[in-house]
Amino acid sequence: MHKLNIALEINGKKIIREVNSHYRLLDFLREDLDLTGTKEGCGAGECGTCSVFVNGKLVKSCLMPVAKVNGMKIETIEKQGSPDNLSIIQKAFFSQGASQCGFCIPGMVMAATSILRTNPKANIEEIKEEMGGNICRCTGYQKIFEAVEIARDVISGKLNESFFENYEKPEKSYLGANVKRIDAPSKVTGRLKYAADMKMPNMLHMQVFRSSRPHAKIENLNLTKALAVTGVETIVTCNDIPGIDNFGVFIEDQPVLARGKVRYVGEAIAAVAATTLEAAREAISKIEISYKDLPALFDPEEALKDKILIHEEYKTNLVKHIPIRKGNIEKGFANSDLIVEENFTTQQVEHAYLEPMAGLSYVDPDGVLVIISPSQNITHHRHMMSKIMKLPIHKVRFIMSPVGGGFGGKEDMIYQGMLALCAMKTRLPVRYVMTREEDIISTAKRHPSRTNYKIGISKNGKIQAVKLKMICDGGAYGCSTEGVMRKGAILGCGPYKIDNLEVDTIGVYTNNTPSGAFRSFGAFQSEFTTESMLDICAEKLSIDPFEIRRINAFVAGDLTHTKQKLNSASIKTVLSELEKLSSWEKGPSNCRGKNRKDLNSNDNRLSCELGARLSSSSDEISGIK
Amino acid sequence: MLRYDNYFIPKNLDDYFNLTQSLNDYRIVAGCTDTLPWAREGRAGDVYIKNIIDVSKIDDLNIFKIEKDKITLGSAITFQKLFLDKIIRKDFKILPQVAVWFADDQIREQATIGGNIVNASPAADGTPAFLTLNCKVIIVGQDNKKKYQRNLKLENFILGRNKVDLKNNEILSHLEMDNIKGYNCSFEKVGHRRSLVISTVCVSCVIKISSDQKTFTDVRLAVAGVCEIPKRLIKAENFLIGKLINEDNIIKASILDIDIINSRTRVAYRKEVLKNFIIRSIINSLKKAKISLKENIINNFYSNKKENIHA
Repeated sequence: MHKLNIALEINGKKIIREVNSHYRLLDFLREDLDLTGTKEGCGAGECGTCSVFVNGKLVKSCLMPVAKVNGMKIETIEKQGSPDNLSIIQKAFFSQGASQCGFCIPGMVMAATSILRTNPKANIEEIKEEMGGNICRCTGYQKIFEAVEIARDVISGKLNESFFENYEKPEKSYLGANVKRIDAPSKVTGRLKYAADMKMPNMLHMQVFRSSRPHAKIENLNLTKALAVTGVETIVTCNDIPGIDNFGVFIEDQPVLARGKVRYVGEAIAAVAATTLEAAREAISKIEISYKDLPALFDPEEALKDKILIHEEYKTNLVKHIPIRKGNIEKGFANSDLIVEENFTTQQVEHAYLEPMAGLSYVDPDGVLVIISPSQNITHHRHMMSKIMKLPIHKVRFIMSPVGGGFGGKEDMIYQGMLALCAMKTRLPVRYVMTREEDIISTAKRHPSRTNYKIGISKNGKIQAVKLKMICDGGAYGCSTEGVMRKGAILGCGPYKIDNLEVDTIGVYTNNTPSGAFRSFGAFQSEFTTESMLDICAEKLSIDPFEIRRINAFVAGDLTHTKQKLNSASIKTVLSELEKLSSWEKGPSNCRGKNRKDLNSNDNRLSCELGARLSSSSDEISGIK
Repeated sequence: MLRYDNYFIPKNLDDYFNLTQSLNDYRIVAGCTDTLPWAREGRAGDVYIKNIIDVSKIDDLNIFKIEKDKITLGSAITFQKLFLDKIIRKDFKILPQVAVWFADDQIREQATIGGNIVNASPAADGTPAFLTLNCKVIIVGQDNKKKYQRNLKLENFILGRNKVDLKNNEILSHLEMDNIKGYNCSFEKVGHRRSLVISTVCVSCVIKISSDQKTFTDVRLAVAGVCEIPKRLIKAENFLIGKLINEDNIIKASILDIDIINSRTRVAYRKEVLKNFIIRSIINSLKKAKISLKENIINNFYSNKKENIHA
């Protein structure tokens, strides 16, 4: 690898180093200097987790070749404060609970620092605008913006620093109380180590060879040229699995590495472990494969016909069907004044947690296989791993690294098996960090859904009957589909008393990217249809949308859709709070005047605009010269 | 992953031409904000180029000169400079307006105006604004160790998607644009989100009105994101110049260039947005000249389309 000599100042210290000439500033900071507070969330300048100061200007270090910063002054999150000596901005983030998963927070603190250095009087619109290059997936930004405003006021002396000690010590319930978030100092300073931040001596780097075909037989896989690449320690395939290969949350249908055939684009086929990331990537490019394409299924309804089978051994593409029956829907529809039937679709959604998948695996001196990863389900993963690796359970240890956002996406085991194989085979520590693109192409998504919905309702707004049939695309492997179908069915008809209902949720195998767990776990897809139907009925019956929900809302003593008796029900409280907070203009949505009066109140927002810093009053911003 | 052996940062054009003439395998970069994301999965994948030539430090490419009738900007000037320079903010108002919608503050510190033009993206944000300033590009080339210069109108320099009139032995040196003192302007953009987003449609509008504030003296409109290259909206401009400032004329002008739309996706949506943006950008420009037309001109435009029951 070609090297480059650079001399620069990092966090006040002058250093001279020899670096890989193709490194980005981000690589240099993380890999050579272990300044891992600067994160890599996307590698394409989109997310802001890698923001650092270069000669006093905030830039994205993933878009900065290291050669460009020769002779310059770099300042990273590590300069801003330490857990026992936080900067005012970090204290403000801490006090507002502005750090959740924490992965975006070093970048956010850097952006806030940049704003308040150049524009100490920044108003909220200016703050929002200048933080536009930093993405957070957890907080919804509100707490972050509040933290920056508070920091601004403390720095200017408008607010006393004692504000930061304003925590409550609740005696009874922690609900709603402002309590200290004890993990915040490690996050706001960038000191917390996520899996990709960890390093071990002699550590290898793993990369994965993935399928370019949706459904194909693997006819020949030739590793000779890849194995010849200098630095390659091992390449593993399904043939290296010592135990029972298949795993899964509900159905054990997924091989660690494709066995005989591939079922979706992006499926792992082989994994390379090498002494450098560059060598591992080069080896991947030298793996030779030939496929025999099979007819592929991309449409779940087509897949249900079972003309082509994705998992031959199951003789069907149905993953799970959850039926619920209650009352008599024919009678319910007969008693209805209005019957509406609609079809709904929802799309595949990526979790986009800011921390791409990453893990580190090694075999400890006692022969225990250790896997460190941001897994949301380590106990289950450990049990599966013991079977896959044919190790007794006490020889498998899972350590949950800090999860830089998961939202369900880190619940299914995806890459840990490959890591374990490489570590067992080489007896060296092996690290794997996915790129954002690889993460998006290969990991489980929210189930795309198609729903046929029929509702019968009386003139007075009382629901008489519901028939809901939802077909979900489960993708190539079972993952969490069964659970998602169950939740989708149980919760699909919403918090409403419905005496007659027929619900079917059906999960199906296709050759699409596997679908898995994602916030609300199937209920989102089905409840969306119920809520949409209620809005449609409210318009048709000229009833206020809040009112139609109150008419049908569960109360204590009601039976749920699966006939569980409720001891309490809070939906009516939630509705009245929501009505108040949204400044709702009463009346059916389609019977208002030309201009809605509830828009543009304090509680709802105008469409986005930019240019807060273009007014003449902004000329105090120190950057303007 | 982008891999290379050498990273050259020439300081002047002589050094630059010496490099390009002595090297075979090279790629030119400036801000690098497009090149690094390009060398990733889904686009170019892993790329190996032996030599990278970074032109952002070449002195001639950093020229910054404001004269009575024009502004001269080196192609390596960053978008953040357009946003933060005091004189530009005062006299070339369209430039900070486009800058604030361009990527985000951090990328603007690196991204250059020349890079945005040479990339020739159909959705380039900077290009429509430059077009409305009657931008001229100045190209410097070298033949047999002799330098020469070539001037082109920006609209003639961009030949197509990712294609410009630039030979291997040439470099985009700087841009010359009209001084628009006394004009009012507005930049409108929509994409999937606010910051860091590729334009679905963006419109740049630069307007001069008569001293009695009754007629349009000069109107310049340009659009990007709707066809292969950013374009001036000639029909609307010609229609409005000399006409009375009123709702009727603005609405009439808004539909004249609709046929320009030739995008791969969402044609109907873009048509709707282009009409609205032309109206909105003119109204917003006029507002800055303290002329307010009825706030709800766009609503009136659509008043015949009553909202029915959603279902």
